[in-house]
Amino acid sequence: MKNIENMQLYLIRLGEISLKGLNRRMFEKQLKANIKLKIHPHHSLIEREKGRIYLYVEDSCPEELVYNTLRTTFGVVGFSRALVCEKNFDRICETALKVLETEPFNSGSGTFKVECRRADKNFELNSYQIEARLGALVLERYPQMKVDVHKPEKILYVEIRDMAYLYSSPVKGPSGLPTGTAGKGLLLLSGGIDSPVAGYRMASRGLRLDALYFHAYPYTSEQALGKVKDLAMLLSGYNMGMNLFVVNFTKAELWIKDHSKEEEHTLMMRACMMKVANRIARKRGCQVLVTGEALGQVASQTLEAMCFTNSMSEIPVLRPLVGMDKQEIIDTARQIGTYETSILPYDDCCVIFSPKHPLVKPDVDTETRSFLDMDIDELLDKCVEEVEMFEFSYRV
Amino acid sequence: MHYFDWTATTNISESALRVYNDISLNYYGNPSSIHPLGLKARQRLDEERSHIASLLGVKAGNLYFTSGGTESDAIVLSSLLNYQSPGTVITTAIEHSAVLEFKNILTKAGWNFRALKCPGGYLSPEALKEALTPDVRMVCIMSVNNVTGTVLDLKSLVKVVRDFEKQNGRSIHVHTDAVQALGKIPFDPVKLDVDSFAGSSHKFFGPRGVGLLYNRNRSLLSLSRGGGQEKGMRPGTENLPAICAMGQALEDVISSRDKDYETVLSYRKMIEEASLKAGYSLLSPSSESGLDFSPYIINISVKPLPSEVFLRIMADKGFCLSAGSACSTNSRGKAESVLEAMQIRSQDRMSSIRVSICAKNTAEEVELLCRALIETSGEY
Repeated sequence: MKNIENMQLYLIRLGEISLKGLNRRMFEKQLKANIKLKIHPHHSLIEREKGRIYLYVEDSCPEELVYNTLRTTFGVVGFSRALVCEKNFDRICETALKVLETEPFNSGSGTFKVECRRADKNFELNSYQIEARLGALVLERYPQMKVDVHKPEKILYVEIRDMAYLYSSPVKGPSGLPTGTAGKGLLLLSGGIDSPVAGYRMASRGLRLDALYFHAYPYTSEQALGKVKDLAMLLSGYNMGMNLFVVNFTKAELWIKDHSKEEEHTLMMRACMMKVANRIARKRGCQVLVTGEALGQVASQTLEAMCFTNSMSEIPVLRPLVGMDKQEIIDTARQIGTYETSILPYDDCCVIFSPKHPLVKPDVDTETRSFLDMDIDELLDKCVEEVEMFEFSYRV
Repeated sequence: MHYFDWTATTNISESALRVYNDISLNYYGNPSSIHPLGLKARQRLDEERSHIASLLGVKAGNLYFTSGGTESDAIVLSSLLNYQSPGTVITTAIEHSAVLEFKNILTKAGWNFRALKCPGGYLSPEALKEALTPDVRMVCIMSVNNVTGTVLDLKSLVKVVRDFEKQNGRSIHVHTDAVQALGKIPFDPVKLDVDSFAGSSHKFFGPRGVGLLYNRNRSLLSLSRGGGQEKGMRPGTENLPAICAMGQALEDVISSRDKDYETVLSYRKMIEEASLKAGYSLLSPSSESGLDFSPYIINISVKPLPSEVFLRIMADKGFCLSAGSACSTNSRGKAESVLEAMQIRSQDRMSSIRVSICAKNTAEEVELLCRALIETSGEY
């Protein structure tokens, strides 16, 4: 038996993972590792049970760290801080009063119910009796509250097992699958609203991400790069840390400007970005690219333009936002906290490289020829060679 | 770093800083207190008011100390809200935001706020005459434009207003924002026949947070309320160290004004020449145009580079310049809209940079700047 005295207990609910078959353990193992890593150096223990896990954390660990960890760890559907006591009804009442002093019960109003699970059938009272008596206790403490057993706003859970466990309705986690269970991808990160959301979406499916940013100083500012670094940092909590690769793209952009037709500039730039991203992905062992493209959002994201940029990549390009509405994307950005940074007014692209009338329906063959005619390969190799890396910790 | 952004702000001069320290340490009484230290401070304040008034050639009784140019403009414009019935206020579309931002508040109060277009940065007396209607209560025209350095012909413009007043029999308050004129070009409010003007200390090597308001219109009623300081025009304990330091700074710049003007004019010509050589175009008047301009400011279009990019390149080369107006980086496009009101084409507006010079710059520095301007046009 592990020594769990003087440890905080959290009950974590798992969603999709518990539906897995033979490989369920792999997902659980990764989740466990992710949680432990984020809470480190605070000591923690994890016990698994079907559909949920119990997390014990040493008492000296700030509750906030655990909350932030669980709120940003994919695989966690919901969690609650649980209190443990002896299997003795008086003790259970005392502990229940403590739970009532915390969220969400401490508001003292609304509807509630008590839900009891009695694994130890030898306990003096049966589940209904426990529920009824604790219900009365809640009403005594908060006379304003009302019982609603069908659609309660708050639930007080009691479990009688080796000990008695008490906890209230769970705080929502981000759901999804544990980061690192689905391989590795390279996220093309700009300073905009979309690409951080695309990264978040793929990380939520278990993909571990590296990020890539194209910097064109002095045409784009140091503040724009700073903004991208901030975004990488915001994503790093979800992604279990993040490495941001910054490519100096100025020479390539100028080359494109001088060696292609004005209306093709944007397409050629995207093609070059794909080429550079492919080379960096190969170096870093990334199996896919991830972009924040949404169909039809701008000229370079029409179906024809996407077909062209897609043809420039040897590895698959995942576009998790392709069918999403802008508002949905913005809502997610707000929820994960990247929106405020994304809307800072530092452009990640300079107007002198943006054609007034870009091609919206490019022909793949024609554009491929234009790309080859630019003869830009050597310059792109150089971009890859001189890439800079910035590391962001998974600390939340 | 070579500083060419003197229009945005200046560093405090040593002589002004000395005064600032001396007054802070030795005249710390509140000028409203009646103990000896208070009386000493009051006396010093009165002396400084007379000192500055004599430098500007105005009556000390018409001079008020404020927190800066923006507040001075605000006192005059917001005083309109005290009027029984609203009328029309005429201004130019190339004013500083300290004036233009009153559009909303005055319009809401029922005022007709007319900002006249200024092609090339100038307002013709004819255009002003045409705009004057019997319900005009105030005319507010800047002395020197802070984006391009054009000097508006206040003398003729005020004369148009005064002639109209005589015909119409109702007085019109004429205000000018003289922030970019004070200490740089000759400025005589009495001869110009304006009713009020605004000035700011940190534009002429004085400290920040202090400015002045000249007002001879007895009926102008400030919206500010407080302990009655500055005859109620700008209540609040007087910032005596800053006021005295401003006086020192103003004395210094006025004493060397004509000499400095010549120096700055020669620098301006060098920069103008280099810009043309670099293939850029001037958005400020050329020195050969015969138009009235302040040599302290020169605005150049560095097409095809956007101003922001050009500023970064120049910053890397060690030069501090501005895009349009320094205030404009806080809210995009303001200087741009001033340039639009001057009827400058959109491409040039996007590429507009402002070089502002002062006599503290050395000829070598200006030479370096000229070389960097030419170099950059070749590189990008």
